[in-house]
Amino acid sequence: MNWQELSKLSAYQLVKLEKQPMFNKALLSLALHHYQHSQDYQAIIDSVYPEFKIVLDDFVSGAPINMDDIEVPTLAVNLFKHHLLQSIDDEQVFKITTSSGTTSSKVSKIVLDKDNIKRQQKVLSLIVKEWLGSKRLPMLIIDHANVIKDKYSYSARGVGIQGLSIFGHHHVYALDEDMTLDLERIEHFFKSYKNETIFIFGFTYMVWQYFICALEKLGKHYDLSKVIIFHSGGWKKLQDIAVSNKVFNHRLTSILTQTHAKGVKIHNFYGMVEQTGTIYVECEAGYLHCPVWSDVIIRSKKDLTPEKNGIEGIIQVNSLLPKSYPGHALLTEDLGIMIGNDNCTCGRKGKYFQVNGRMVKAEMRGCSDTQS
Amino acid sequence: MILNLENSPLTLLLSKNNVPIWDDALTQMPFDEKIINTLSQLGMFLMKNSRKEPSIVAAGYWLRKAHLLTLQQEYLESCNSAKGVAFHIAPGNVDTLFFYSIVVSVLSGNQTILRISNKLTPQTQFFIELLTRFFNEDKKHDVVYSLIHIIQYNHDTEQGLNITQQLSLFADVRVIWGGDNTVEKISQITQKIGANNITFPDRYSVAVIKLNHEGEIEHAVNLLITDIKPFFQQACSSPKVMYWLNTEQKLQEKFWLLFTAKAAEQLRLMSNDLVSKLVYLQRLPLLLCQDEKNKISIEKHADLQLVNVKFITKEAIKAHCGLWVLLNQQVERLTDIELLSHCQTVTTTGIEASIIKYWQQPTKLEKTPKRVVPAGQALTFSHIWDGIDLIDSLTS
Repeated sequence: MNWQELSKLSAYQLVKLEKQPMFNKALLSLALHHYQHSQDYQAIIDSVYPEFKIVLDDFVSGAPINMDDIEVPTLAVNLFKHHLLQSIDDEQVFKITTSSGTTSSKVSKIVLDKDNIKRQQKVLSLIVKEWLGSKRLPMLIIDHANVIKDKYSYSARGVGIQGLSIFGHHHVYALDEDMTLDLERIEHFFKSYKNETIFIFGFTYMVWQYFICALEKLGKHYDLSKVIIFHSGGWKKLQDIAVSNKVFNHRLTSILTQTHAKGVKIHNFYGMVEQTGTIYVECEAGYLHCPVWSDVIIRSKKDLTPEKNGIEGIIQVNSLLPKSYPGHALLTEDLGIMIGNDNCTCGRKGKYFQVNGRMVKAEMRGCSDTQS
Repeated sequence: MILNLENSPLTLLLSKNNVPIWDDALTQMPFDEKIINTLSQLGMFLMKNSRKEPSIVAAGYWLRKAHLLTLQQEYLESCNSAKGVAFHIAPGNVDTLFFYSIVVSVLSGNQTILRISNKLTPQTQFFIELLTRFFNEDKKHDVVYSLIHIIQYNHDTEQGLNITQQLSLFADVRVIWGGDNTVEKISQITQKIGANNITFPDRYSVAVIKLNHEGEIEHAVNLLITDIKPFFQQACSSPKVMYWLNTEQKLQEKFWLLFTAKAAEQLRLMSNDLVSKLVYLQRLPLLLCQDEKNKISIEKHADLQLVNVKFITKEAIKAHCGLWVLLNQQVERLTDIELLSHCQTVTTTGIEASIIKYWQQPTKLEKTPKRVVPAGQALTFSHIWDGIDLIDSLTS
């Protein structure tokens, strides 16, 4: 299946038997593409995964391959913090996105060309449409406008906002640069779109700290009738202060509406800069859904082999989008649990899972660490 | 001079007076009888209460009286007095190095203030508990007790930096463990006039092994495990590279077969370590000059990855994460081994001492290691560490 055909699929319709053969073959083609276009990826395969090199050779020569037995090697997502991996010529580089990171830790650098950005936008819009509908909505962004200033190098927050902005119109930023609420702007926005569905987006922690808590402190309550909230960016900070998804949703709902609780839809989503586009949105039943263009595998914490459903392991994400950089199969540092496939009560097909948070940071050991 | 840090945010983990007030006049003579007596009794106490923790047993053994007396004899002539106040910056989690740093400093008679990591491993916590118990049990150890202060503080905050600055101006010598970054960072902080630094920058270590017949295999396997098992192979003296000197392939295969069997029960990694290790293994082809000249291959032996290489690079060593990865190289002659300039320890198996001595001559080796010891002793502490005579540097 080529890209044209892939981009005509809808996000959550194919069942396992329909999806897996198509997906596996497309992923293998993509791995071959990177093997042929990225010297670094080639070196990694040749040295660390010689058995996969044989598979690629067979694939090229048209020899029969049993797709079920093939495992495309997973690159550790941190590799992108150390090396600039690319499968395009330097002249084609259009943008380099970076993961968010504190000053002390390195950030991932992802090399993108125009074509790859187009793919990301296309797939993101196919996914988001499933939740927002195809009409653009008035949009409130829980951040400040300067976060997307630097056009060449976006941070994760910038990428997220930029990516989702195309689903809104009349964008309003809720915060000033010092992270304080601009109440006048927010209330004017709520008033203007009183009778429409409004779209709110922000990073989970920002929404909690600078929107929910800040409005509660001011004793502000509104009575909106239809709101869809998307938020993302991990629960780590909220786990630290013991805020669960349930508490988050409850308190956000009670600020936004007094009489239309059913009109407030809150969707957390999981995704990463290293695979922008293929996001995993939380459904009404509380599970994250894998769209047709990507695949999630949970790996054993003991030996990295595939883990059974229902048991916590390390999350691997495979995506058919990365073409300008070899990020098609990535082992994350997040822990999660696979819940099932094709049978979520929300009705969507495909795998569904939950994310439990980051792995506990490795204790630095050894002589060269006094900095902790 | 008196230094009073009562109003600073620091924790005293071990200190006789329980207040962060230090008097630089309080020193003892190097190798004073009271010091030797107390330390040798501490040694016995540690061996008895170690709960079989090998690193604590080894620390106790190091303090045996005969050993301390030998050291005393060795330095009788040259060491007249203590430096004064020694400020130690201990490495993160090499559980016992902090202790040896204290011991050589106290043996030399110094008032010893040691900053330890804020994140302590359970082993280190246990070790400090033992020390506290020992010193609180008997008043006769008070002379030594009053020389030892283990402190903790957040050194990356402004207040923490201030503490480091004050201690640096107070101390007569700083002992800086922790590799290039720490050495560079601390060295920038002004010291008392005339004070000096003892620094331990980044180092790596290697193993050289030669096997002639099958009978040697088991012992050699045990020694390798002894050298790489502690601290997940992350201590700078644990070998990261293994050089096979003229050893038949068949013997090597048998060596790894036995290693796998023995290591399977002993080497275990947690999930985050598995991922860190995967990152390093995937980085290796990019760090080792990825062309035909150095085509690498990886073998897995239990939880150890053996990476066959034609040569090593500085980048591949710098990025090494420990966690049981050995770069593996075949050599025909000792002189084929190219050490990097920051090589610390070479452990040897099956090579005659005279040959090693010959090899170590600067004319034979472009870069000489700081230390050559038989396999199995990579982590054995010595008062001459990294080529630095610690006792000599801590006395006048």
